Amino acid sequence: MKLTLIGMAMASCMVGLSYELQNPALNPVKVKEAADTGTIELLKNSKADFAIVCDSSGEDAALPRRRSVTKAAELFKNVFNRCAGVNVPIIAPDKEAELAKYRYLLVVGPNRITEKLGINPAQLPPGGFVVRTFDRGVAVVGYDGSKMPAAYNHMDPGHYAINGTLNGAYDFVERFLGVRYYYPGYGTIYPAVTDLNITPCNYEDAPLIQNRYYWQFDRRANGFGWLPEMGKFNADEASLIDCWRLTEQSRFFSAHVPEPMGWLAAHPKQKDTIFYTTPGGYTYYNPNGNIGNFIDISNLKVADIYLKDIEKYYASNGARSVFGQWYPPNKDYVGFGNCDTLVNIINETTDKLNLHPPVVNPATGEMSDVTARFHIYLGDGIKKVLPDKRLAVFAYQNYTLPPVLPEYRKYPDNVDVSICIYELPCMAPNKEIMQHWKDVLKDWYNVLGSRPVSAMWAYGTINNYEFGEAVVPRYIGQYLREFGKYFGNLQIIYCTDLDYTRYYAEYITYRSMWNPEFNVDAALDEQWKLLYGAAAPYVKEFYDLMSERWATVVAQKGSRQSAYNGQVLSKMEELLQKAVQAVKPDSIEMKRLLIFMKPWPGAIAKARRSFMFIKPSYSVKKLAASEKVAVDGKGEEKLWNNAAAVPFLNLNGTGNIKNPVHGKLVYDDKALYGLFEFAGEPRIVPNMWDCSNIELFLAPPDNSEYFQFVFFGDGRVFFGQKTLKPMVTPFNSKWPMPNLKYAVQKTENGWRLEFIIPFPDIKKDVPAAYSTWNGNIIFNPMQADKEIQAYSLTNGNNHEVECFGSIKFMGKGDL
Amino acid sequence: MKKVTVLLISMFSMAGILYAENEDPFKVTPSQDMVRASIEKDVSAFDPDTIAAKQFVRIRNRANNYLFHIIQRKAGQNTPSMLQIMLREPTLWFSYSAPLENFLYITVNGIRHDRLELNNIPLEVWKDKESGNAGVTMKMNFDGAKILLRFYMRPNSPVLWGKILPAPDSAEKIETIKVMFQAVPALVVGGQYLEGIYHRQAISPVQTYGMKNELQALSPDDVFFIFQDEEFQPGNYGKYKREIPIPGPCYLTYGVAEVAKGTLDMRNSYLVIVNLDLEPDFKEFNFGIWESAQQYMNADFMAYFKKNYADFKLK
Repeated sequence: MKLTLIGMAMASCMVGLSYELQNPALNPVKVKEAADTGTIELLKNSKADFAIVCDSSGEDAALPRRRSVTKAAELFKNVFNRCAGVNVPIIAPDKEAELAKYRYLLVVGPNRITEKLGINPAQLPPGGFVVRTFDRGVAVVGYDGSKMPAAYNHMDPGHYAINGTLNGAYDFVERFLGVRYYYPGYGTIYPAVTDLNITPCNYEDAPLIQNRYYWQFDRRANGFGWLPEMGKFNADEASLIDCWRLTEQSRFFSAHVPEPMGWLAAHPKQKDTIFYTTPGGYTYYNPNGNIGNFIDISNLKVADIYLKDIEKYYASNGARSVFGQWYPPNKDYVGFGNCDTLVNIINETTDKLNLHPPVVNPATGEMSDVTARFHIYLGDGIKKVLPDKRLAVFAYQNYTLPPVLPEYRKYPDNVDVSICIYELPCMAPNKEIMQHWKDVLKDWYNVLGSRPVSAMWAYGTINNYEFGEAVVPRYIGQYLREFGKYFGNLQIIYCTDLDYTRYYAEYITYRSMWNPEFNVDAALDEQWKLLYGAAAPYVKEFYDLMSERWATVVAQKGSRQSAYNGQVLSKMEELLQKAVQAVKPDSIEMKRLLIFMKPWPGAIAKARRSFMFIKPSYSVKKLAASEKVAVDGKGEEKLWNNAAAVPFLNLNGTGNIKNPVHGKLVYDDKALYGLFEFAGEPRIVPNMWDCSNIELFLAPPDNSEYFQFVFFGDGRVFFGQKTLKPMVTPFNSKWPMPNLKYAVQKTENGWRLEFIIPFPDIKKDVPAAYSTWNGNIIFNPMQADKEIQAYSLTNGNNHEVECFGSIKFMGKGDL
Repeated sequence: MKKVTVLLISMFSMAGILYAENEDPFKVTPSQDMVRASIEKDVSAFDPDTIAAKQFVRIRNRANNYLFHIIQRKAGQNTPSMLQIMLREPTLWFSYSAPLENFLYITVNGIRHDRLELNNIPLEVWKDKESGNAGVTMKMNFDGAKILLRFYMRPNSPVLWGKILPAPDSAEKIETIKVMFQAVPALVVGGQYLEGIYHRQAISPVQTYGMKNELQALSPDDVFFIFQDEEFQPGNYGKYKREIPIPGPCYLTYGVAEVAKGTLDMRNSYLVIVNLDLEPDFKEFNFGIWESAQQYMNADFMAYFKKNYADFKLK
């Protein structure tokens, strides 16, 4: 491949522009007038007559991730070796005699040469860079934390890194050498280059979003998500962190802090003050995890306690921490984010101050004023005692909307807000939804005193819905453009499960954060061609069809089933088949295709199965006041005779059940009761999850959360909770169930389970008569000769709430 | 609206209507007109994905023929299961007949009947030898508060009569009970429920109600209503494309003495709604609805109604 980058416009050198510099598949850059330095021939006939020049002094002491200049020089050396087979030396700028041996210099990072050239990296935005030709070669210089005095602080997290030069180096190898990093191994393109002539150029670039990082990328270096189809694991290339320019270069953060257990440990007598207690007497404190706790933000004394702890923390220069390791305060920011539990605080304070005014949408706003009052108080307090610090808070779940009451609609100017929008980018093609969120951000802009919301948690699709995960990142740039001045530039956290098979979606995610003007379609079109050769048209059509159906059906509030209906799925299968037929079986294109295609047979089969799903209905008998259940595993009470049997089906789809489970549910004004009988001996082994068990899933009518209970044949039990709306939270396996009771008994022919699930334990009112919840019951015998039985089909994932059957709570005297 | 003495003749005079008792020489006697009521289980496989159970109830005499579909709908992906009591004959479309809306909703102690389950509602067919009336009784349990809902016909009368009364074995007191009737007197464009094109009227013995955007309070003197559209009548579709036959007027009567509060919701829309809050200590609430397979122009029905008023009157 000959890369002669003499563009038509560049040939004139009049304005120093080059069409090639603005490759639409890459981030657009700011092109400036270039000096007429003549063409820089870095490679000629596969020979290099240049040296890499860098001053890496001072970087040895820095964390490896922050050694921007050193890593940039190594990148150039490696890439020229991979692409041209040349071994280019790295020479320090003060070795003038050695440098004089080379016709050209590739100067990397700030040093005496770039200083002479008048390049001042401090004038660039953090993480930004300049690429400029000069008479002796090319300079790639960025704003590097490693080269700036006091850029780093001992309170900074390890992934905090400002690497402008390294960003510039990656830009250079992509823009001039055609290198591409889509995923490690087969997904990385190193074109063979024999000649590389750089015509005069001078351009700059810098990221818009300062924090473009997601913690799962770091796990990849340990093998997380590596696929057998990708060949031998390569730890050095696995993470993609540097080549995708992932970093946090602002100290802003958005997290559930302070960590509740550590904080309470410092104030053991203040539990009732710090954590919210409901009017019914339940205190939201869970010593086993973040979920289940809730800090009483209606009590401003809590803010006072926090302020004193923060003061002590800074006074001790970070040594005296009661905050644990999870995002403690740092040089610039103190964070506050309540625990990851959906709670609406209602108490004397909220009543007295009327902190629950009517809101547009209670699901996203019923706690906004309660929260705003606390944020404002805390922000004012920090301004008083720590005037050089800022407060980072988030708008989340039922306090996503701005406050309504006039007294709370003016946030102090030292408070920066991050917003969590569950619908974005999924629903970004929907104009109505976009307008809604634009209005919300505009309102926040007013509340913040004409300052934008600083950051955003954005979300992929819940439950790893393959079609959505593959498509929705393409809308990140779009919504950033549309939000305009109402959205700041500190951080976007895009929550999804990383998957190398969706490299194309992840690639455009971080490109769009760098620059929302990034041309997603041009980038995708380029990579389809680069990776798939003759199969590219079919892969492109596959993706385009999937995207078009998402934008025109799912995002317009249409169902997934109608978006990806039988006709669409058949077309997708046909395109994959054509792609396979278009390339040779032993080709690298086929290896890449196998990675690209890996999720789709399963995803398409799952989508087809969903067409067959029929939601079953089960009616739960309501007990009379005189009817009582003794949870003793005997099931002798007569009331069970009048309860309906739960219909079970064979999950293997044969329709025949040799050993049917007999199960019944009843309820009263306190609890849900269950009685289940199983034929045969249960499997009992040391590993709990290999024992025979029955799982019960329960979700309230709006499927905003669900509870899982697993009762094992040997009497062990597992339970937990997961919130799904308005924001998905991690599964909380530490959910307290103080009054859960159950009993397992052997019977003549097998075993029997009886249990009671008190409604207060799952923080739910007793279901109203004739209200319908959702749920599933799955018997896992863990024995090859017994069928897995379920009340409702699971679609391969017992936690999939959309597959839950309905559970209707009947009235007194029914059944 | 309790203890209202209704002087029918004087009221009718006020409204410019004077009805005579039926003197039709061709009318058969009660013993000659056999009212039949029957229940049959639906054995068709129609829509098994969404329908869990369905029962048909037919009540007919020589004057008319009413068919109910009582349907238990399965829970959908995002919707709970639902009980529907739909009228499917004598007209296939509109008046009180489905498919647009249920013609009747009963809400007891805040629980609407469509939340109940068909398998908890015993149906019983009955016939009264003395009167010749025949019909069906449904026992409905609203979380312990039970009512009996009867539909029946009288010999000769084309009206479908109804009666709601507390069940003797009710475990809970009836604190509140609401009844809602819905009718579609005319709908001119099939499948397009256009707003703003109608000319609805609700004619009671004492006044004629027009369309309003707000609820209209009903008077104790409104012992019956004829719902009609002044413009859209059988054969008269105005500028709209003829797709579905317009049935013409339909009729509602009820016992005003048991009604604590009544409102008419009649906007410029296809639906006409009557909301009634019954006295919680009511003994029995009687009502009657009429629709016909035969299409009537408004004036023709009025003439027929006047002539046969005795058959339209509550007893």
